[in-house]
This record gives sequence, C-alpha cells and structure tokens, in this order.
Amino acid sequence: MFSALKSDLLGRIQNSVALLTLVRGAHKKAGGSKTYMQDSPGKRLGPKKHEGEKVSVGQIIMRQRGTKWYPGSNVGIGKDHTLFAMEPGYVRYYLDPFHPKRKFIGIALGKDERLPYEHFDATHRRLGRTVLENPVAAKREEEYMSRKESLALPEILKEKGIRDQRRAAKIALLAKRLPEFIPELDDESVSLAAERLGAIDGFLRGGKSLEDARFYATYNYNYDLKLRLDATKEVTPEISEELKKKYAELVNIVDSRVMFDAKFNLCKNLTDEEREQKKQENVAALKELIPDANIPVDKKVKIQAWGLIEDTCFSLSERLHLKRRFLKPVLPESAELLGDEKTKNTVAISRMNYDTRRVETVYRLKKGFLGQRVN
Amino acid sequence: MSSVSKGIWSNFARRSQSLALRNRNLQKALLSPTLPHGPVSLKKRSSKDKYQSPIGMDEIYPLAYQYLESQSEKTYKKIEEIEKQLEEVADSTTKSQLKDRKTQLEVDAEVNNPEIIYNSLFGTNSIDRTQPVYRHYLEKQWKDYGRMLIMQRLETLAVIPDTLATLDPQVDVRLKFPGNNIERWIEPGDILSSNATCRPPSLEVIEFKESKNDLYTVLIVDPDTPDVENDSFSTTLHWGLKNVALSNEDGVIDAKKLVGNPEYEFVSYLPPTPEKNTGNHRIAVWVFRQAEGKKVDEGAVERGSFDIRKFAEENELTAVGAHLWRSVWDRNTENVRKMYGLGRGRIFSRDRN
Amino acid sequence: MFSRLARRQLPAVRQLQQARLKRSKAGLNPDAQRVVTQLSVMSAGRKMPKMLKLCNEDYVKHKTIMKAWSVRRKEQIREEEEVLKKQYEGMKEASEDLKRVNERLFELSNRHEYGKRFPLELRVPTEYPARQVWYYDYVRKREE
Repeated sequence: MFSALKSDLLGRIQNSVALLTLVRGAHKKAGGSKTYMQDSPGKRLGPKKHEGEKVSVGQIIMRQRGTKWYPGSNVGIGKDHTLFAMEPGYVRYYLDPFHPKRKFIGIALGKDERLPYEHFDATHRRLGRTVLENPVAAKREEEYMSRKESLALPEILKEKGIRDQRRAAKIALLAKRLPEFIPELDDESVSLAAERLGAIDGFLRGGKSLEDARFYATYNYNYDLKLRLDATKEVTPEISEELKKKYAELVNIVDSRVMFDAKFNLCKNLTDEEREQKKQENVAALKELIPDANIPVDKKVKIQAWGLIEDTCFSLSERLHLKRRFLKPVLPESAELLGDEKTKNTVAISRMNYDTRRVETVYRLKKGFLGQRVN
Repeated sequence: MSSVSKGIWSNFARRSQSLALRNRNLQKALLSPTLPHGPVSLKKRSSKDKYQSPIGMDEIYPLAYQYLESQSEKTYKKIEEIEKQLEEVADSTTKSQLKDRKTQLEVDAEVNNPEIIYNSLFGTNSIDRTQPVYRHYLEKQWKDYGRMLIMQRLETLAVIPDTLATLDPQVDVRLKFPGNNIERWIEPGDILSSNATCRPPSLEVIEFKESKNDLYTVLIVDPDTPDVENDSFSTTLHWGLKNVALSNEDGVIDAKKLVGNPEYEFVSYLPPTPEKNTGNHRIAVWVFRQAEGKKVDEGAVERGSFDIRKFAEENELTAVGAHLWRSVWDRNTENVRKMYGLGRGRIFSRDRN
Repeated sequence: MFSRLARRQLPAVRQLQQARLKRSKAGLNPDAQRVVTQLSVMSAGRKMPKMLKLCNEDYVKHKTIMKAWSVRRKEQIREEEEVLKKQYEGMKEASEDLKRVNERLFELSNRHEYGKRFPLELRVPTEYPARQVWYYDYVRKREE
C-alpha cells in the first residue's frame, strides 16, 4: 500500500515539475491591448418617450449613462440615471436659463403648456386625489392608522386620561376652596369660576403673568361664546349677550377676591398697591425680627421669618432673595459660634490648614446653621 | 472706586436712560477697572469663588474705555452739527439724507459703549428698540440667523413662489399661540397640531428702521387647499388684518390690541383644518407694509380662491416679513371643525392616481 | 543566568546612553519625558491652548479693549496715509513748479535712463536702522 502511495506521490511531483518546466519554457507571449477582444451587448440606451408624447406615472422616458439629461419638473431620476415620469402629462425636452449648461426633460401637466414654467409663477401642481364619496370607504379611510400611529395611540390616550383626571381634580379642588374666599357664590357660578381659575392656573404654569393669564382666560371664554353664536349658531344673540354679561360680572368678583401666589396656591387677591405695601411691611417686620443676619436666632423667630418671606405678596425670586438676606444657610465662623469639643450641640468639620500643613478639626455650634426647614 | 467713564457715556442729560445697564452691580463692574462686586453674571457660588479676571485687564480697560469714549464725543459733535443743519435746510430730500446720516452717527457714537454691548448681547428681550444702536445690534443678530432661517424655510417649502413671487425681508416676524398654556415662539416651518392653532395667534413685528406709525397688513393664507374641480390646489385666506399701526416701541399684534381695535380684523381667524390625505398644509403668514399714508379700504374679500398677489398689488402692499407653520390632519381636526361650524371634512383617497 | 548577566550589564549600558544624551539640568529625566510624550500623543486635546473662560462682564471688557485697539490702529493707518499723500502732493507740486520754470530741467529730471537703478548709497528709508549701517568699503561698479 505504501509503495503505491509513494509511486503516486512521486508521479504527481514529477508531473508538477514537468508543468513548471513547460511554463518556463514557453515562448514569449506578445503584448496585447487591454481592451482588445472585449465587447458587451448594447444596453438599449436612449429616449423611450419623445417630445409631446403622453405618459403616465412611472413610465420611463430616458435611459442614459450619467446625467446627459437632467430631470426637470415632475420627472424623477433613478439610481442608474434613468428618467421617469412622476405625474401623468406630456413629455417636454427643454433648456432652463437658470442652468445654462444642462438639458432637461420635464412633464407638462397640460397639452399646450411649455416648459420651463415662469420662474416667479406659483408651481403648477396636480391634486391627483379623489374625494371618497362612499361613506363606508370614507369611514374606513378616516379610521385607518399608520403603524406608527396605532402603536403610539394607547400610550397617548392613557396620558391624556391621566391629564384630564388631574385637571378635573384640580378644578374640583378649586371649586371646593373657592367658598372660603367668596362665600356668596351659588353652585353654578362656583363651577364656572373654578373652570376659570383652572385655566388661569394653567396659563401661569405656562409662564404668563397673572394679568395676561386673566386676560386670556376671559378672552378664550368670549371667543368660544362668539363661535357658538356666529359659527355653530348654538346660542341666540340674546343668550350670548346674557352669558357674556354674567361672565363679566363673575370675572369682576373672582379677580377682585382671589389670585394665585408664587407656588400656584389659591389666595386672597392683592391689588398692586396692596402688594407693594404688604411687601414693605413684611420687609420692615423681617428687619425688626432679624436685625443682624449674622447672629443666630431661635427656632420661633425662624418660623416667623419663614411665614413673612412666604407671604403671597412675594414672587419666587423675591422669596429667594429675602431668604438669602435674612436666613443665611451658614453663618460666618465667629468666636461665639465655635465649640471646643464634640457635643450634642456641635458639628465636627475637618479641614486642611495650609499654614501648619495639618488637618484640623473645628467644632461649630449647630445654631450657626439654618438647618432643615421647620414649620 | 471711581468710574472709568469721564465723559459722554456717563452723562445722561441728552442721552436716553435706556442706554445704561439697569443692574447697578453689573454697571459698576463695567465702569470700574476691576470687578468690585465679583463676577456678578456668574450664578454659582463655586464659579464666583474660583473666577479670576485676566491679568492686566484692569490696567488696559480704562484706557480702552476712555479712548472709545473720546471717539464717541467726536461723533456727538458731528451729530450736533447735523442737527443745526437740519434746522436750516428746507429741502425734503436733503433733509431725509441728513436724517439718515444722523441715525448712522447715533449708532456709531454708541456702538462701542460696553454697557450697550452688554445689553445687546445678554439682555435682548428687554432692550429699548427706539434707540438706533439697539436696533443696529438686533438687526445684526437677526441677519446672522433669523433672516437666513426664514428664507431657507420659505424657499425649501416653496412658499415662495407659491404664494408671493419672492421676499426681501426687512422685519423680523415672530409668532406664537397665546391661547394655549404653553407659550413659545414658533420656529418657521414647525408642524403644529390642530389643537395648538385653534385660536388666533399673536405676532410681533420687529422693525429695524425708525418707525413711528407705519401701517401694516397681515395675511395668513393656505396655498394647499385642494381644488377638486380643477384637479389642483387653491389658496384660502385664513386671517386678514389691515391698517395695523405699529411702531418701534410696540410691534405686537395680539388679542389685547385686537379687542381694543376691532376694525383691524377684516377677515376673522379660521384655523387650519386640513382634510385627511391632503398632506401637510403650509400656512404662510405674510406681513406687508402699506404705502405711506395709504389705507387698505373696506371691501368684501372672499376667503376661498384668494389671490394674494392681486390683493397686494391692488392695495400697494410691500411684503416686508413672513412666517410659516404647517398643519396636517390629525385626530382632533374634526373637533376644531365642529367648534367653528365647518361640518365634517372630506376624506381623500390615500393613493394618488 | 541571563537575568544575572543583564543585571550586571545594565548600568554600563545606561551610562553609555546617558553619555550620548544632551545634558539638561532642568526638566524631567528622559524616561519620564518619554512617557509624557507618549501620553501627550494619545490625548491630542491636551496640547490645545485652553480657551479663555470669561464671565460676561470681562468678556465685554475684552471686546472693548480689542475694539479700542482696532480703532486706534485704523486711526494710525489713516494718519500715516495722510502724511504720505501730503508728501506725494508736495513732490507733484514741486515737479509742476519746475515744469513751469524750466521745461528742460523738468525733462531732465524725468528722463528715463536705461539700467538706472536705485543707488546703493541712498538707503531706502526704513523704520529701524539696518544692522550694518554703512558700507564703508563700497566701490561703485564701473559702467561698461
């Protein structure tokens, strides 16, 4: 067996050697042209539709290599530069003065129209859609949802439900709280006023000023009323007038009695003068309460100061400003505010002393810090 | 510490108070070689503590300030001369030329004032537009971004030439829908829901030239209304305002102004309610400046098949600004149609034929 | 065995290398420097000069200084140009004067001479003196 294998291998090697010698010994090949003997069938390029010929959507107008012809109006171009019709119409071969070096093929929508269209004219467009007269088909089409829409819809509806609920709860709360400020309102007026306050609350959260929020709440109500009168004719002019008058009265009462403070809580209304006066009073009271903000004050005073700062007359930034002025989070490190050792009333703070190059521990009295907000 | 300003820029006898910085500490910072109250514009405590002014600025800054201030003083002298000439000259063309020159000099006199630069860089929302120098800075900002943006949107969405032939923008037009809770300026070309646009928008027209009581016309049109008979599209007029008096101080057209002046509105607001399968409708807002002293007169205007080019030509209107948003059929469109008593919208075939 | 050999030979090799290096007292030793160089190649961003971080006030001050400098430069250039213009106009006027007084002298002064160059003896006016103030051993080329 081995001998057979051996002879076989030997035979192969000899063969290959013979082959090698054959190649080496071959005559010198004559150098031919690179493009010699290369040909391919014709690609049937050229125009498929000619000037003035009628085409429908998708029909190929020109097959070409490169953009010998450019797509003009209503013509598209494929990946191999094939030009095709995008609208039904009549083929036009034309030049465009805006691109003097290009030749175009376009589709004119009308038989007598010439291309290019006037540059400053409105674009000539075709609607290309029909109204669905069949009610069943129309309904089906109306209810049709794209995949994206149908996937998003449940989530959207859920969120809308939550928002509606939250809004209803807010209005219910406002309606509940309103009699505290305006006891003489009847139930109908209370619900209307709560609706209004809900709208104002929304506007305020969106960034409008109180004055603007009130204005747009009234404006939207009157606008809707006008639509109900003029557009949908749901109400007669008399009723509309009456409703408008009633609402104006209600607005007068509600706006003069309640408003929202900086944290959107319902509170007693303040006119501009009252607000200014209240601000001055509160600042004066704070000054009296805390003459020097660098000296610690006791808990009772702090609570009082918080009350004054969080009064309805101050805006958020004013509150912050006053807080920084009167209730400092950390008082300066004076001798009275330092302790000697770790006790219940001190806080240990370790820090680097760069002169001695040692870490030192400082005991600061807890009253030197503002601490957690207490009420 | 004494102020670095020794001349005209700290003298408000003839200059408007609005040319100063309102924040006292900031003003002090710009009028001192160093920062006496620290870096006021930095908000974080740690950034404030860490901050150091560049070395040597305290020495050079007063020199630079005083040099520019002296230049400004020279310009103010020129302005005085022109004012004298203006009193003497009676010829109207010379007068208008002199006035233009004066406005240019007023800009030149204040354009390098640090306080003004600060205001126009960091306080653009509350600057006084009656001052030529502030208008100069606003225009520069607008040309750098807003004007390019609106032109790009108008061209790519083919609002020009589908509505008007072209536009040479001269004013910045801003648009928002204040009837909604969230109030934000609409970016040109945004696709808005039918709910967001169901009540009239408010506009702000920012003029960069001096404008005291120019009259403006505003038209909102939809050039994508389907025209089934002709198998094409027509233009619908959605809102028409005319003879709206605006000025540099007050360029706002909002509900408050319209409630006070109901004669401005000659075609009431109709919200865009595109029908299903009619694609995105481009809703173009065009602001026209009326010819001087000419009012757009009363006359019935049809909403449907509105020819905006003809309207502008007949009334000698010059388009000075534009804005646009897009609307598309959504699940709320029918509610808006019902609100306006429009009846149910047609349903178009999904495929084009 | 190899490690022992290496340990024995290493200092000698090192010494050789050190001998070939440029001696510098300041800076890192070469090994550390190599590491630093490699690291700096990896993070190219570190080599960028840091951006100036200015607060708004200082930014406006910086702009003011730059503006003042550019205005001043513009003013200076304008002044210089004015002086040059005056000089030119003076020359032109003198020339016109000469033309009026003596036509021949004017012709002579304006005659174009082939191969006439700016004489080296007349230095071009510069803002700063030249390094070599005067060519003392200058000999004029003999004209052919």
